[in-house]
Amino acid sequence: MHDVALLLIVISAALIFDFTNGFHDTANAMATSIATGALKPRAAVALSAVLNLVGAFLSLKVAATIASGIVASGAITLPIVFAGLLGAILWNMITWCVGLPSSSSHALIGGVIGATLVSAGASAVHGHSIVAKVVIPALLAPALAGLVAMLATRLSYRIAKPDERPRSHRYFRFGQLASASLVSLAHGTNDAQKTMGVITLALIADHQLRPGADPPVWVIVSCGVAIAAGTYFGGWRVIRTMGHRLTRIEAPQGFTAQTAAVAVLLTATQGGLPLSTTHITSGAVLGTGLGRRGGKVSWGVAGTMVLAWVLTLPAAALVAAGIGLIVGSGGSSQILVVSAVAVALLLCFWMWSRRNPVSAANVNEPSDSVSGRTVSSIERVPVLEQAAG
Amino acid sequence: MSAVGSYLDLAVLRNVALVALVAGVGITALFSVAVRAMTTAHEEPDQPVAASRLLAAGCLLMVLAATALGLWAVLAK
Repeated sequence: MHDVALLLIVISAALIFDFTNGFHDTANAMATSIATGALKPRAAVALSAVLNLVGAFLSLKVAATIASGIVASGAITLPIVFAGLLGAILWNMITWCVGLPSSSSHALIGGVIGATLVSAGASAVHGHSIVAKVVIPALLAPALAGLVAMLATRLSYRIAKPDERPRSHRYFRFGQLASASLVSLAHGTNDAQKTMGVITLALIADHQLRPGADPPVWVIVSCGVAIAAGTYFGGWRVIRTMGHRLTRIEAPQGFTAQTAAVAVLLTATQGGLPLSTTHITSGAVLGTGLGRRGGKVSWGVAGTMVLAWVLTLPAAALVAAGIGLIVGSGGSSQILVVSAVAVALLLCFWMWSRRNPVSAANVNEPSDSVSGRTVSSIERVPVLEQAAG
Repeated sequence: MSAVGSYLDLAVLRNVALVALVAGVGITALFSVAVRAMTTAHEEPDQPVAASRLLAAGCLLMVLAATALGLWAVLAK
């Protein structure tokens, strides 16, 4: 296949991955705000989309390739990047269909590892880096965020006594707007840049850019727009799981979970620890569920979520390895056929999801709540409306 | 921990955990004090309202300052 055509396919796949990353991770920032009624669902995803877009332009310092150090840089070719991206996209779609929050970054890393294994052999994969950049952070992030959220929730309920002072819920909802906005901003800064790194890597591999070059402006803009569009699309299934199925969240818990997540995320970024936003926010939601007196956590849902985290890397690697075997030679017919099959699979996932649709209209339906408690319409009035009223 | 130490810098790990703990718990505690003061000012009019509002404003300012500092530290890195 002509290099330019292959490059265009890889860039398209990267932008589709960025889109799925956006809608898959909307829940990280906005699930608790939607669950507590701090924001209407559509307003929440619109706010998150704008902040993801802004975040994409804030810094370019992490726009190095996401797989840096995990596989030998000399082994990465356009077909490997293509196979890795498809593996990650398909895993994102599977976990979205079943409503499980899983790390898009780990899916992408898994995809690149799988494709590299079949194309360049095991020697091109750095096992030490996988443990340092994937395994340990995956254990550390939810534990740390959960601990911070649990302690913060206990302290917050002890100080503010929201059970005795119902008005305090309103103030905590205002706090949620700020904390959720910060998570969205941090997500845009981190995740959009990973796709920028992938596209830049493809451009370098195709000799369109010199090694070490910064992403061109059109790459920054397209990645920012793709992740913002995905965020606005709204991964309602994952939002429902994070907001209702893991634990029942009250406004003070939503605030403490998001604040704990932001604290861990920003501190880890500053310290250079590659922690996943999804793992941090999921851990914080679990922690806040444990921190409130009488709070319940659905351990069945939490266990399934952890299983998805464990499976993310090998599953994406397996899919990408299969694709890598087919497209390894870079033959035009194979790549076109795989692209067509992938598009057909994405359509199948979409149609399957329509059998049991979750949307902005029903994301807060209490049937999936861990306690089954129906949250009253008064409690759900968004704070901006309350302020106006 | 020694096994983890061969993969990650344990000093960095300890610092990240400590700062995240202090920042996460500290900011929520300050915000909760502000919420408590605001609800007191609203629901208990016999209490000195001006003092409650001053306390709430002070706590919120500290929350804002801590957040701005955190963002600045990350973006300026």
